[in-house]
Amino acid sequence: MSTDTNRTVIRALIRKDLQIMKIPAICYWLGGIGSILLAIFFGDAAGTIAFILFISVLFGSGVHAAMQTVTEERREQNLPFIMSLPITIADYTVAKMTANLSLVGTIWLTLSAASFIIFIGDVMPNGTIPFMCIILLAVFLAYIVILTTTMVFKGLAPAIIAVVAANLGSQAYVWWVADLHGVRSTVNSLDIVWNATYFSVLGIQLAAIIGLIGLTFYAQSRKTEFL
Amino acid sequence: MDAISCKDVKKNYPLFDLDLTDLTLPPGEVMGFVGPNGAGKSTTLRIIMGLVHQDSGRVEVLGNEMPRQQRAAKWDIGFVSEDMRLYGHRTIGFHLEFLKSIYPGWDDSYGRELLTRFELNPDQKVKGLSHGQRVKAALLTAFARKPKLLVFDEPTTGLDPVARKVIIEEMMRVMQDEDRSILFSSHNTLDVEQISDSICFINHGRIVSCQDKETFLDAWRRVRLVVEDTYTTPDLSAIIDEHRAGHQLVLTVSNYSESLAQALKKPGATISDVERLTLEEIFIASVEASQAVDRNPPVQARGVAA
Repeated sequence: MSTDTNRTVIRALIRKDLQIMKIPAICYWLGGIGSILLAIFFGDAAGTIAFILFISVLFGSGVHAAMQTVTEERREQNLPFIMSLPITIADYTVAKMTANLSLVGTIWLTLSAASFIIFIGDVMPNGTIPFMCIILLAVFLAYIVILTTTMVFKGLAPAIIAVVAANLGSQAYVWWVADLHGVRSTVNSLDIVWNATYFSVLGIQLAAIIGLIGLTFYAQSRKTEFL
Repeated sequence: MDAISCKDVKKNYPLFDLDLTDLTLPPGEVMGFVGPNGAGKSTTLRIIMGLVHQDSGRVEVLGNEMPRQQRAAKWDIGFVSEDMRLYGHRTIGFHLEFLKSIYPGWDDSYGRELLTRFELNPDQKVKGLSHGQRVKAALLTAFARKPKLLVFDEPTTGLDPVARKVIIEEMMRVMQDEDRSILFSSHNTLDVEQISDSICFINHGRIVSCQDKETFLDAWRRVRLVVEDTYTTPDLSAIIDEHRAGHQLVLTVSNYSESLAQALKKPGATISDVERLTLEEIFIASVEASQAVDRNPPVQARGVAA
């Protein structure tokens, strides 16, 4: 069968997942915008709440997408229906990863970009921006950990373990990063300071994201049973 | 070109081995695939669909080597398994639209016709359907693709007799297309007997017997004999089961012929009756005989093949 027909099926699978996640995605996005508005208008009083809400929305959208489109599909026994279509395990993996990454990636990217509005005012010093980038990428990395775990491992238990580990792990990780000299010494400055520490940490996070996605494709290609 | 061809296919699990020496489904034929729980039916069908990869051996489906060419093969396969569910929070119409976006030759009018025939509402959510309606909806998604090959894994399990009748009737209607082949696994031997051209028995991961239905049903008989006290049952491979009560001896034979009848009478017996067996009775006798062979090979191994 030609590559075009193969792409048609993959596109249909992506559309199907986006359609299933459409309403929850809009809700998460609105939640994220709401938390940014909270920070802008009630920054002094509700800054911490707004920040927690914002991170929760980003994290929650990733967990929801991975659980709904991967774990739930398997638990609800929809997979035999999907795999009866003219696709291979590789096609399924491409479709699932693309749908998830584009959906959560869009929410993450737009909300992350919108969140920098708070720096226009004097709510937070500009020196926080590089650290904010690390936090946002750490949340996305946590989502990638959850997505790739649900893709590779069957069952609810690995998914739950991944959620708990990603949640606790990312918090511990951010605390650890915050204590690095390169971060600690610049985070409260009025101007943005990009130093080697920030670049190294962001680079490692990016490499981890790419590595986990690559590992997922490799693990999926090694599977000899897929139901 | 056969619809399905499995040669020397092996799949090993820690507690179960599948060993299919030869399983062939010619084009246009309906094969009933029968076996007890855990016999290897679902594993076989999953290997045929490319969802489980065999450890060794060759599987070809519609001329495509599986699992390598599963994408090409599955364009022409409709698959429904007992454990397959449609998306509960979506309507039947959603699923049909989804399939329509994939299959270029999708026939809307046939889809609507099937909806009417199965008495299904396209606007109804799958989670609100009864079990029978869910099975019908799943079958509809397979039929509506107009595939060359239909692979069904226990599709009628858990259905009431009326729903089963509708599904069997639809299968028979689909079979009117001479080019369409169906591999149909079921516990329900009545369904298999009704629609199959050939029957394949599997037990403990091995094909026990594969034959066309008429030959199969014709070969199996229950022979009632009146015997003398000194009568010893001849050691014939065709004798699958025997029950003796006084002078009454009842034998289940898998390869009945006039010469076999003569061989049974020779040691001093009179045949009082010869009955045909239903597929269910054959199925049970086959499985029991196969289990007996497994338990005690040297004594009981009388050959279970028809």
